[in-house]
Amino acid sequence: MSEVVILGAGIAGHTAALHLSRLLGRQHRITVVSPNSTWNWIPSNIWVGVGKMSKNDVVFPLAPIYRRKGIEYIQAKAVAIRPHGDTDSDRPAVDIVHTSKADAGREQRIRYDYLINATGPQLRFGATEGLGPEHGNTVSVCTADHAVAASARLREVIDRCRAGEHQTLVVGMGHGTCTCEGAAFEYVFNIDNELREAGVRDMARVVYLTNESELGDFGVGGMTFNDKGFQTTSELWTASLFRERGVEAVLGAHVERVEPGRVHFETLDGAHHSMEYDFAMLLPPFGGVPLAAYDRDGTDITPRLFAPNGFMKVDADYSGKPYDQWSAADWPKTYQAQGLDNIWAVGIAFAPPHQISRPRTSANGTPITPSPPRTGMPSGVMGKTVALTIADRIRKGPMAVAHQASMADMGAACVASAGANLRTGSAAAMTMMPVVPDYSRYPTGRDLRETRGELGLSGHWVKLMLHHLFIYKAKGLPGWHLIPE
Amino acid sequence: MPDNPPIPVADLSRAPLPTESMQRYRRNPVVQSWKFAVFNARIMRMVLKGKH
Repeated sequence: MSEVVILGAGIAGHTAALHLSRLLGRQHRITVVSPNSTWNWIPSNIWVGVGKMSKNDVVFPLAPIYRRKGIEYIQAKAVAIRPHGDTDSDRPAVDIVHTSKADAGREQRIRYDYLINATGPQLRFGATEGLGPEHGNTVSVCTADHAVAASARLREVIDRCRAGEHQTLVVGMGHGTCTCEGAAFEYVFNIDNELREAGVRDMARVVYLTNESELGDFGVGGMTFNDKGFQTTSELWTASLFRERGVEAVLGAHVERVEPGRVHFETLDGAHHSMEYDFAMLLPPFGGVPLAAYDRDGTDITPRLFAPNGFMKVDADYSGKPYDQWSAADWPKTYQAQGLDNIWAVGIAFAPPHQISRPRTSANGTPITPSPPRTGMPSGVMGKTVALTIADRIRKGPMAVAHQASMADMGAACVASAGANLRTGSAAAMTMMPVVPDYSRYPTGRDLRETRGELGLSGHWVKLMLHHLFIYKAKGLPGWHLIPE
Repeated sequence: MPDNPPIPVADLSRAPLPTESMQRYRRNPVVQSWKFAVFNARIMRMVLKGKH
């Protein structure tokens, strides 16, 4: 019997667990270690953050699903990996600390034959002074609880607008190196929609504050679309939406600190600015979840497994070549950890080899560049791919060829709703293929047939459909595996 | 306290605005039903084309 341990139960880890359970049955032990007791369809947190959905619409408990699927579930966080075992055994192990109410703080060492690191992001609100809902002055939609709190604050702002007070709402990125610009983009247009529905749009100034150097970058260097025989850009397409909705945009910004009612930021030209606000939803930068690695004798080998930002090094080219020399081939294909044939890192947990958007620094040397996104659809594909590899290694032997899913061969859809109503809703729906542009295959970096951007009611229907489909899939209900990642 | 220097809001005055007919097109249930089907077909095609 083989033992597979999966660290994390987000999109990547949960997808891997479900597929491993389907592929291996109950002859092998699959264990999921996650500090959270619930699964959250994070893309719909946007709707929770404006009060269109409740927390219960976007989360569900993990334990019953795993019980039904024969997957062992431990509510705990991993703190260290011992890929060569310890002094007691040469079997690899993971050190975990329990997080459930009943068992909080209990330490345990569990052994594995195969390990998937799908720990997701560490939300680094601390990277910017005054950022975040717990110790700072801003709200967030990163978790369902954060989104509930954001919604309550938004209601207060709308009430003040109704009372005749002008309000300034700032939405965007809380640091120069943030990723997930699409989430902030979506939230700002949902807020715009809420203000319009409340009849107070004229009482509010809505500002999108972003580290992108141009609108429509989204951390993927922007996109080129084929539109009625012309090539156009995601920049023009996005700018049109901002102008139409009257949302102001501040570009190339690194938020330095947030005081109650005032956000301070630096822009690419090196100038320092500050802006008053009544409501601020600013996303944090992501880091890897802190995980140490130790050799059998206890030597710290963390730098061998992890990049300085905490993300795990996999089969990518980390030689640090200049941005202009990178190629799509530098991106990982199998997600296998460097030098270890039984550890993989998927989703946000793997270290990207380089930026997709052109790296920029301000005139003062401050990095202001979106980090590469690797959430949603690509995360699910990576989780499934690694599950297939592990299942093959267990069933066919250790020499079974690894499955591949490079982000340079993978498409993705990004649907950013801009109003949630079945008849009057709208969304910016984008598809791109591949996620990482490959200029050796496509003059614009991406396949123009598949890379599209559209605005309209149908996008809202797509977003709603994806919400229900992916929650159905994540619950492992009949036929779940037929729904693509 | 005034903002100093002024907030560098992007100039979007040259961004194209949708026409009335484009706005109707974006809300038309028949057109959008077709767009919905096409978008889903494109996602499926991407899934099938992806080398994974």
